[in-house]
Amino acid sequence: MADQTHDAPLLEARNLTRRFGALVAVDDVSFIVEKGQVFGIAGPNGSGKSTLFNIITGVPFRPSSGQVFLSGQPIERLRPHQISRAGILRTFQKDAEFATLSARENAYASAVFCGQSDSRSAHAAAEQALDDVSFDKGRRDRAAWALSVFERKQLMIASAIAGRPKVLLLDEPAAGLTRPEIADLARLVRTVHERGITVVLIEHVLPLLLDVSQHLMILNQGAIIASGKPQEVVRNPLVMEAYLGKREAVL
Amino acid sequence: MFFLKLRTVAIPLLLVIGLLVPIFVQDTYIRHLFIIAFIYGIVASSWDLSLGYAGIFNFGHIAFFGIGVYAAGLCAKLLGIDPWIAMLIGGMAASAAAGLVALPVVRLQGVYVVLVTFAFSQLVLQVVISQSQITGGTLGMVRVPTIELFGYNFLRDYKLGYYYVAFALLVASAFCLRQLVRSDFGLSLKALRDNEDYAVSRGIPISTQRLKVLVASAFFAGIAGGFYVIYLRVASPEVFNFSTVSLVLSMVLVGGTASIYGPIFAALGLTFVLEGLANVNGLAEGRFMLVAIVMVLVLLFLPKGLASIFSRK
Repeated sequence: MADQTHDAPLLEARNLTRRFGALVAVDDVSFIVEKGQVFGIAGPNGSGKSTLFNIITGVPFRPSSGQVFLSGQPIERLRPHQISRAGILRTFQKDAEFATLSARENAYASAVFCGQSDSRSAHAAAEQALDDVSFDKGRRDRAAWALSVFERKQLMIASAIAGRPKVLLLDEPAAGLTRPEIADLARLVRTVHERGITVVLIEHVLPLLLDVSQHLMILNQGAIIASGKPQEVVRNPLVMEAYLGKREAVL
Repeated sequence: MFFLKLRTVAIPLLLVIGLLVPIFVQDTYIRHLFIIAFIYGIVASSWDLSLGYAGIFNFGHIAFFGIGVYAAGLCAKLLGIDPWIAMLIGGMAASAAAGLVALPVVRLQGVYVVLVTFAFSQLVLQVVISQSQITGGTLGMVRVPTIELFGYNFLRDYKLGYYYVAFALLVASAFCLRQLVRSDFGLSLKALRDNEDYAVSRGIPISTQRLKVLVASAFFAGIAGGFYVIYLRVASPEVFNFSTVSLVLSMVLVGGTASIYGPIFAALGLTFVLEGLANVNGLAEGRFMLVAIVMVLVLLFLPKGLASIFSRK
C-alpha cells in the first residue's frame, strides 16, 4: 500500500455489489468510515451484512462490482492476505480459530504474518493483544478448541488486534453470548476503540450497537435503508418496518 | 508430564543407539533392513510435513520419491555425475516436480487435491515406462554407480558405510523437518490446516505456503529416492506402485499425523515386522492384511497415531 492519502477517509466502499446468480446479496452499497469511529451495521437476517465483510476482505470471495479504498488507496488489486496485512482485519460470525494451536500461538501467528513483526515483537504484540481483551493469563497455553465460547470470541478479537489493524471488522461478536458476557463485550469494543483502532461492528443486539456506535447503517435485502446517527436511525420508519414488519400487515 | 521428560532423554539416547547398532548387528541382511527402514522413515516423515502438518491431501509424495530415484539414477549412470551429487539432484528434481504439481494444487481443496496428485503419480509412472531407452522401462535400470569416499566403497564391511549414510540422512532430515515445523512457517501451515479462511484473514498467504511446503517435503523424499537408487543400484517402476504408497501411508498414519518422529518409528517398526512375518509360514501374503488390521485398530483408538501417546500432557 502506498502512503496514506491526506484527508481521505480511512475506509470507503463505493457501489459494492455481490451477486449469486439472480440473487443480489449486496446491492450498490456505499459508505465511509472515518478514522477513530465505531461504525455500526445492523439489519435483519439475510440482509447482506456478513457478505459485505466478505467482499471487503476478499475472504472468501470478492465483490461482483464496486471498489473499496483504504486511506484513499484502492485495495482491489491486493490478494486477500494482503488486504489483511494492509490493515483491514475481521472476525467471523461463527467461531473461527486455529483449533490445535494455543491461544498464545493464535495471537502470535497473526502478529507475525499480518502485523509482519519480527519474532520478539510478535510475542510482545500477542501478549499485549491478549491483555487488551482481558484474556485469562492462566489459560493462554490451552489449545483454542478447549476454550469457552466467550474466550474464543476474545481470542478472535485479540488475534485481530495482534495483526495491527487500521480498521477492525467485527461480525456479530455478541452472537451466542449471555447478557453479562454482552456487557463484557461492549467494554471490550470500547477498549479496542480507545486504543485508536477504528471499528466496524455488525450486530443484531441493538442496545449494544446504540451503546458503542457513533454511526449506524441499516441494511435490508442487500441495500442501505438508513444511515446516520444511531438514535435517529432507529426511529426511521423504514428501519422499524424492516425489523418489525408493516403495522397494517400485522393488523 | 512423565512422557514429556521421557521424550527429552529419549531422542539423544536413540541417537546413540542408532550409532552403536552396527557394532551389535553385523549381519548384512539386518543392516540392509535398517537402511531400508531409514529411507522409509525419511519418506514417511517428510510426507507428514505436507499431509499431517499442512493438511494437504498430497498423494503424489511417492512419485516425488520415485522422481528422486530416477533423477539420481540417470544422472549417475548416464551422465556420469558423482553419485553424491546425483543424490542431491534427486532432491532438487523432486522439488521442481512438486513446484509444478503445486500450481494447480494450491488452488484446489480436499478430494480434488487427491485426484490431481494421484494423477500426477500415474503420469510420472507412464513417462518412466514409455521412455524405456533411457529409464529401462518396465525392466528398470541396473548397475547404477555406487558411492565412494577417498576410495572407500560403502558396500564393504557388511554395508557399514551405507548404514551410517542412511542414518545420517535420517537424522539430518528429522532435524530439518523438526526445525521447519517449529518455525513460524510451520505455525502458518498448522494455521492453514486448522482454518483456511481464518488464516488468510490473519495475513497468511495460502498459495505461497502450500507451494513452499510441497517443494520442501518433496526435497526430502527426493534425497531419500536418490540414496535408495545409489544404495540398491537398481531403479524400478515398482517404486511408484500403489503398494509403496499404501505402505508409506500406513507408516504415517500408524506413527501419527502431525508428528515427525511418529512416522520414523512406525517406518522402523513396520519394516522389521513385515520382514519378520514374511518368514512365518503362510503369512508371506497375509502379513499386509495384519498391518491393515493394526492400522485400523490404531486409528480407532489413537486417531493421531502412536505418537499421540507421547505428546499427551
